[in-house]
Amino acid sequence: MSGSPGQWNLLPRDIVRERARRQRRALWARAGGAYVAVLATVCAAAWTHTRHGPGSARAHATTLAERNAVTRAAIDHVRRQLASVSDVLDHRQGLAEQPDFSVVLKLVSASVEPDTIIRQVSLRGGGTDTLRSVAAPAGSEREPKHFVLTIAGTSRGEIGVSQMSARLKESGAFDHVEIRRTGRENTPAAEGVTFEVECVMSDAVARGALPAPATLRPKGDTQ
Amino acid sequence: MTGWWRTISRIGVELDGRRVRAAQFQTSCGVSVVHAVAEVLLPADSDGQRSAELIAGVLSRRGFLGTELCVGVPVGVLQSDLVEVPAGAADSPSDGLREMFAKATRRTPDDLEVGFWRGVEGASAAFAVALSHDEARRLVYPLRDAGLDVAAIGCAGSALAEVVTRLEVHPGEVTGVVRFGWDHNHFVLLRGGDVLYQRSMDTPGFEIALDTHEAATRRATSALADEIASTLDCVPRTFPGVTLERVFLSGLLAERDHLAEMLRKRLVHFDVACLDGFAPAGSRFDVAAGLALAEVGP
Repeated sequence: MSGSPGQWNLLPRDIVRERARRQRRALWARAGGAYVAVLATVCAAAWTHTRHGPGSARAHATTLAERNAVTRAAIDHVRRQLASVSDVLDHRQGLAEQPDFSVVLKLVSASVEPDTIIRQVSLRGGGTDTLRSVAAPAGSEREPKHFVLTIAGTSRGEIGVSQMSARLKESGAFDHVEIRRTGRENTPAAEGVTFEVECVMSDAVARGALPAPATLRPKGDTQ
Repeated sequence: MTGWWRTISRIGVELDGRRVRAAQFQTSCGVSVVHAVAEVLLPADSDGQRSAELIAGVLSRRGFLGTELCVGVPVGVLQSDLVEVPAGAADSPSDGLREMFAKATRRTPDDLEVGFWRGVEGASAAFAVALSHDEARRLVYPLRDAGLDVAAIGCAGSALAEVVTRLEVHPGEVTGVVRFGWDHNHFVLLRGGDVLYQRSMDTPGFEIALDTHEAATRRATSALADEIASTLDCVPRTFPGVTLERVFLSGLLAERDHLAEMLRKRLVHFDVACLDGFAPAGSRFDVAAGLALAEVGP
């Protein structure tokens, strides 16, 4: 204690010294704690920068590019498999969608007059340009297909040939019916007319528009 | 204990017999306001350790911050005297004072802590106090064991000097303060922040308040006024050129109007007023406030 009110203290000196030592220890402990905290913060910031910095971005981009290449290869492989499966599917669908030509035969049979004899029936695919233009609309992606049915035989007269041709036309199963040839045929038993009728049927008609045999008109009904 | 926006003072603790008063302040922009106050009445049969634990518990519950204390010892524990210190002597004649008090108390000089105030420039008289280490340890160790940290030990005179300085009531003037305590009353003569003189008076302290009989109170007050007057008579002889005009009342009974009025009638030559600068703490916390706000040495 001295002459100034700011200087007095009657605390024993050894207690003052002990207290000062304790305060110094506490101060150093706080300073050490603060230093450790700052150090930890700096290390954390450096670690974060290393992990998310520019170098890391490049490595990350490289990794992404590699992953992208692998993904593209996988996509190409899947596309090839898809194309192969699509071809197989088209092939099988083509087989499944073949026209039922028995219906055509029944139609021809129903259209023939009793005095008419069918000697030959042939069916072939493809056709001329004229037929293609009739069978396939312009701009169609698919190759236009058509079928040509050729009926050859003998009839008692030309009326029978005409009636058969008319019935085939009226059936709606053919796009085009034409009598290609007629001629006289005299035999010892009787005389007749040979004929050859060509019926063109488009692929679409063959697949879906063939009339059921039951819907055909009965023989002799020319209406 | 400091924060960036405010400063929290130490906890000033006044030991006044069975009464213990504590105060703590927070200072912001140079203005100190009361942060917390508490008054504890210790049990009559309480020993030092139990009292310390009781004080620590009260401080914790009443919102005091920190554990750093500045304790004011009772005047009766201190040895104090007006000593002759030549004007040309060293600024810190502590060794000589320590030897003087050691001889008077039959101790070695290393067993004492001393201090003095050279209150009047050029005067040879200085007021000195001494506290034995045994008394200090008897005070400090129980508080330390209770989790409190005693940073400084002061006395009522130094605390009241701090209060008068802080309140800037008539700065530079010589001021007398009558402190009403639990066991004893004492008188402190101050000049600015220095203690010119301090003595414990023989008149009882709290007994004046307990005695409700007006005649008894009047007799006790008259005895107190006589003692104060006799003390004040010594001032011109001890400190030549010093004139005392103002006497403040502080402590338990300072706020009793009738007591102040009686003293005012007896001390007609002085301006008697209540020292109450730390509302709402009240005048009885003056010493605790001075201990809390004082800047103590190492």
